[in-house]
Formats: sequence, C-alpha cells, structure tokens
Amino acid sequence: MLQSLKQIVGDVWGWRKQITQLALFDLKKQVARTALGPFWLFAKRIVYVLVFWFALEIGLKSGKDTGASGAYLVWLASGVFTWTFMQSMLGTGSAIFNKYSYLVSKIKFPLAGIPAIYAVSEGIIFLGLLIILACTCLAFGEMPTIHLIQVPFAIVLLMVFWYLFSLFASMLGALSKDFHNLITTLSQPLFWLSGIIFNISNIHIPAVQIFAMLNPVTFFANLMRDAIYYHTWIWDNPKACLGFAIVFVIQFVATLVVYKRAETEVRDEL
Amino acid sequence: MSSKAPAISSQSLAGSHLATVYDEPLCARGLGEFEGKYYLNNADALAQSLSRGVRALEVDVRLSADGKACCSYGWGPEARKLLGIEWDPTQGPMTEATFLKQKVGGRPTMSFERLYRHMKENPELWWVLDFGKTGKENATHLANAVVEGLHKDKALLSRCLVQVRNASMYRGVDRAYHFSHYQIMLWPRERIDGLGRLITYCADYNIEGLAIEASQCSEEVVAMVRKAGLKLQCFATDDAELANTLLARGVNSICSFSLSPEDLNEVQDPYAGLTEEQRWEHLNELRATIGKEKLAQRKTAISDEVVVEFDHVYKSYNLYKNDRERLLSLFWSKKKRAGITRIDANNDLSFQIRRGEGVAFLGHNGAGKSTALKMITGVLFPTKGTVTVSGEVSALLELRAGFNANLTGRENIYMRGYAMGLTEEQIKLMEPKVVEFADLGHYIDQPLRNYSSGMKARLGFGFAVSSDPEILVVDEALSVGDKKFKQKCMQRIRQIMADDDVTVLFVTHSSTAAREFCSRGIVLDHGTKVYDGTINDAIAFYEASQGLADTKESK
Repeated sequence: MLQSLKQIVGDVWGWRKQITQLALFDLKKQVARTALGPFWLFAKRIVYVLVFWFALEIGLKSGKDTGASGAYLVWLASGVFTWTFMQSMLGTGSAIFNKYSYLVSKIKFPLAGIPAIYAVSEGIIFLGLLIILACTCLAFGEMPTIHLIQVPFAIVLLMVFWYLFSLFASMLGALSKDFHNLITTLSQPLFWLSGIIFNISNIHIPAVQIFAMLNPVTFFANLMRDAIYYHTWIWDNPKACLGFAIVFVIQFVATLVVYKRAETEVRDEL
Repeated sequence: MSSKAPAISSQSLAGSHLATVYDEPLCARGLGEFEGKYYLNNADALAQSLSRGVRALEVDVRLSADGKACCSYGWGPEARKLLGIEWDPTQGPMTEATFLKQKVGGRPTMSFERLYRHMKENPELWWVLDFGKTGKENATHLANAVVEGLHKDKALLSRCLVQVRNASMYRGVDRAYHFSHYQIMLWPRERIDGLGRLITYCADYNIEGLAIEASQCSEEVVAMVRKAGLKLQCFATDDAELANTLLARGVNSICSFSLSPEDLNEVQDPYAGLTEEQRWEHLNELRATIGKEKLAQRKTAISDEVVVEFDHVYKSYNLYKNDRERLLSLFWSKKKRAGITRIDANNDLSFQIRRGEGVAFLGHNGAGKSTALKMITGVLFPTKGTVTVSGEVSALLELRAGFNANLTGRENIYMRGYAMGLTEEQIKLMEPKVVEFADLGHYIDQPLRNYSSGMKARLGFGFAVSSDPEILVVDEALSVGDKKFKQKCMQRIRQIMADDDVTVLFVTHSSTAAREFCSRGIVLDHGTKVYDGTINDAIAFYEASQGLADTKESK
C-alpha cells in the first residue's frame, strides 16, 4: 500500500506541469466558441446560488435560521459554491476515465494524474467563485476576520479529499458500471441531507445528525461557513472533525487498495 | 522502390541556387596558422587569413563549462602541449573566464564577442562553424550558445554554415535554431562506407553539402555527391597541385591552412550543367541501391544494444459470464478470479529488437500484433512476463485520438504534447516542425472542427514524427489521407530511418511497405511468435500460412 501511495504521489508530482497545463486546456475547451469566455465558467454557478437565494429567503422565508446575524446570501453562497465543486467531482469526477479516455487507452499518461487534471480545473473555477464571494462579503459589509486563514487549508483539503474520491470511484466505475450508478444515485441524498441549503444543526433527529457528521459534503460546507460566515474555528465542533477524519482515513485507504489492485486492469477495460 | 520514390519537395533543391560558402573555392582552416605549425583562433591568425584573400573561415566552437560559446583552441592534448596550456581535462571544459585568460605567444584567444564584431564588420565573409563531434543534447546547448553569442543577428547567422557529424547531431542543432546552411562532415574516415545513405539523407533534409577528407575524395566519391546535387568541401590540404586536381574533379571548395586564391587554377565545375531531372534520377538510383541492399544489411550493421525485449510475455483478458460475475470478481481473491474464461492476446511471446532495426509484425487480425505494440508504448501491461523498453517511444497508433474539435491546430499540438509528458520548452521546439509537416497554412490557427479528416490525420502524423523518437511504432497509420500525403509520410519515415539510432516497428498487411522499411519480420499467430527472420522469408511464411487458412475456410 505504501508502494501505491508512493507511486500516486510520485506520478502527480512528476507530471504536475503537464497536469496544470491540461487543466487549463480543459477550461479553454469549456469556453471555446464563446465571445464572453471565462464568464460562462462562473455564470451557471452564480445563477444556481441566486435561484436558491430567491426560493429560500424570499419565497420560503427560511433565511433566518442560519444561527448568526450575517447576510443570508453569504451563508448560502459559501455553502453552495463549495457544493458546486463537490458536485462536479461526484458527477464527472466519479467517471473521470471516460472523459479522458484517450489518456488511458492511447497515451502513456499516469492514471493517478487524470483525476488531478479535473480537480485542478474545477479548483480554478472554485477559486474564481471564492473571489466573487469575497466581493459579495465586502458588499454586505462583512469584514474579514482571522478565521479566514482556514480557507486556504480548506481548499487544499477539499482538493485532496475529492481527488482521492475521484481516483477511487473512477477506477471502480471503470470495472463496474453498478458502482458508477451507485455513486450517481448517492449524489442526491449527499446534497439534500448535507445542510447546504438549510441549517442541519436545527434538525434534532439522531440518525440525521450521525449522517451529517459522516457526510464529507456537510463537513466542507461547514468548514467554509465557519471561516467565512460564522467566524469560528472548525475544531470548535469536534464531532464534525472526528466524523470527517474517519471518512478521510477510510477514503484514503480504500483508494490505495483499489489503486493497487486495479491499476493495470483499468487500462484493459477502457 | 525507385519507381515509387517521389520527387522530394522541390524546396530541398532551392538552397542550391542561393549563394553559398561553396562558391568560395578556398576556406581557411581554423582562423589561420600559428608559427607555421598550428591553427589558432586569435586575431593574428584571422588577419593572416584575410590577407591571403580567403573569404570563408572555419572556426572551432565549443561549449564552455558555464554554457557559453567559445572559439576553441588547445582542447586536445597535443595542442595543449604545443601551446603550453595548463589545464586538466578531467575537470571538464573550462569556464569562459578561464578560457579567455589563456594566452599563446602573448596573445589571448579570440572571445566570441570579438568574433561577433568581426563578423559584423565583414558582412561579406562566410563562417564555417565546426562544433566538433558531440551528442545531440550538447549540440542543442552549443547551438543555443552560438545564437546567443551572435546576438541573435539573423543576417550573421545566415552567413554561418554549421558542420555536423551525424544525423543525431544535426537534429540536436536544428531543434535549437534552424540554421540556413548545414554540412555533414565525414570524420572519421570509415563513414565513407555509408555515403550513399548519407547523400539521400542530406537531400531529404535540405542539407546542402558534405565535407570529406582530401584523401577520400576519389573520382567516384566526388561524382556520387555532386550528381545528387550536393556540394562538396575537401579538408585539408596545403598542396596546391592536389587542390587543383580535386577542384577539376568537381570538388567545390578546399579547406586549407596556407593556400591562397592565386594558387588555384580557374576551373569549370564539371557538374554545373546538371539539370534537376538528372539529379533526381541519380538520387533515385542511389535510393534504389541503398533501399534494397544496404537496408537489408542493417540488422548486422548496427549496434547490439537491445532496445525492446519481450521475455515470455502473456497478456490475458478475462471474460465473464455476465456483469454480475464481473462485479463479484472485484471482491474475490485472485485465485478464484483465475477460474473465469481467459483470452490470451499474447501467449508466451519472446523476442529482442536491437537499436536501429526495422522490424515488421505480420499476422492475421487478432494475432496479437496491436496488443504487443501497445505494451511497447506502455499503454498496456503484461499479465505475466516482462516487457523492457529503453528509449523514447512515439506511436503512430491513432493519429486523431485526443484532439479536441474546438481547439485550434496549434492548441491541439500543445495539448497532446502535455498529454505525452513533454514540457513547454520541448513542445515549443517541435511546434514549427509539426506545423511545417502538416502544411495546413492558415488552418493551423483554426479550430479543428473546420478540418477535413485528412487534415486532422496530417496534424496527427506531423506530431508523431516531429518528436524525434528513438523508437517509432507505426500501426497501419499510413492508410490515411490521399496518395500525396501517403508519399510524404513514407518519405518522412525513410528520413527517420536514415538515422542509425532509430528503431522502427511496423504493423501492416501491406508487404510492399514492410519490404521497404524493414529488414526483419516477426510473424504472430494466436499471440505466439511463429516465425522470426529476414523480411522476405517472413513475408513468404506469412503469405503461405494465409493461403493455407484461406483454403481451409473455402473447404
């Protein structure tokens, strides 16, 4: 297993330049043939937040239960923007070898580098969204606090965790379509039971609380909100940290095991 | 082969109409001589040569330890002793600063900056840059240093002729800078054996001439070179009589320490009236002989270094009863999984391929040829056994794979380059070659969705052959495009093969193509090697077995 870890880290590090460049090309492809270019990378995600904002705060009038006095839009956007990254990783990211099939079956590109390309290109979009969010915060008069130093840490953790997930899910998904369907099916409950669009700490059902504790989507949304909206530290909520630590270790080990076992087989299957 | 050999682009002859260094019958060896014994790159020597009336000067250029171009002298032990230079060669080359401190007869050697100023002041002179014999990497660094040293002055660089020793060195220099004039120098003497192949290489690569040692310039050699439309320079003689004989034979220019233009007779170039058709005819004649005979000898003529080795290789695919079985197989131990039906695409396959060989893989569909090639390119891994590959592999497997329709041709070059693990610098170097080969004109900056399928193939092929591969894998890729493009591809493969160090692996059903490019054939059947021998025997074996299969089927 250590061998697998060494290989994954070595491949990603050794190919970091190529991975970054291919990630940039990925974004270029998305905006090709458009006049407005980069605008389209963010437009859909911004509209997504605005729609939720209208529906929840104005339509359902549920904008009061955040548990703090800051602007609801900031609370909502810090969660939903983080979700859009995770949504991509859960969707396209969980079958990443299909998107880059030529890198798998035609060219000698390290398998472990392929999810990294996607994670980096989505990560760049996410960074752009965070800049937009920062402007929103200032517009609402939310001043930065020391807690913001959690943000870079959160971004790194977010990318590493979902990279591991993407590698794991894509390898299994390549070998079994059932597994891929399982992930796409689970993506819905992961979102709706995550507390991204409502404050899950207000729901006092033990099963829901345990699920939320183990749900990485909830953890990352909370991490971003603690840093940007609540101005608290994530470790003030030890349960959430513990839950995520467990999930992270499981994901980490599972990825290494699957990688070790299926690395050569995946290329045969695609 | 001669009937098929196309007239190579007319471009390659264009250079011969331009004024070249070969128009000067005399070239000074080194910048000049020192105390009648040795040649030196200092200002005195230069002045002496210029006073003799020589308009072409040879300069020895070497790379200093700190990556600068230096006018060399005294690098060899003999010269060091003669000139009294204290420097230990085991320490590697000197730095530029140490180098410039060396004095001979109280005069320092010429700095490259000084040489640059001389070139600037005498714009009518020709400069022959002797880079010595060096590897491809070093040649690239040296060429970069020279271009820097000459302040990237295009006018000056176009008055430089670069001497290279072999194809690999030429590629090393040319990827740093496209010099307008090249010369292949045949040194040491035994290289004269491969002259025929070298001549066609020069013609294909637009290298205008050769430099051959005076004693090797027999009438036959001179005729061979000149009839092919190449220029010939002779080094080095101070014997006026010999020089005049050589010039009368058709040699264009003599490299000498002490001769001056007055020593030479006015001679009529016996090959001056050669028409282009005559040149091509001769070139094709040469090609035909080296294509059929010399290529057949390749196998024994090259090094024994093994570049590809298959050692009892098995490649099996598992087949499952249904998708449930397949899912479960993920959780079962290896032992249980082995119980499922397996297909052996390669079955105990062993062979060795040496550097420089051209090998054809023959076999029916499903015989395991493509699987074997995919393992060589590193896309697939063997189930059992080992595959060892040493060297950069470039594959003409699927030319259009991975191209994106919305990106431009140029962007696609970069994208594929990164996908293949190249760095930005490496891609920048190969980009112009791809663009030139693909010959897409303005289309290169248009999105690929506007391309015809032939244009995409051209781009893909251009990419594959521009990356200076050490091992080129061709998988029936030549069946794309129109006839003209196919010929261009063939010609490019021929060029690549002219380099002794390049190994070519060919999968094809066409025995003509296999005969042309390969000296050895391996016949596969059901994943196993059934025949390994010379290309003609292998084709005969394959065709016989195919005939057998056909009769079986018809029964």
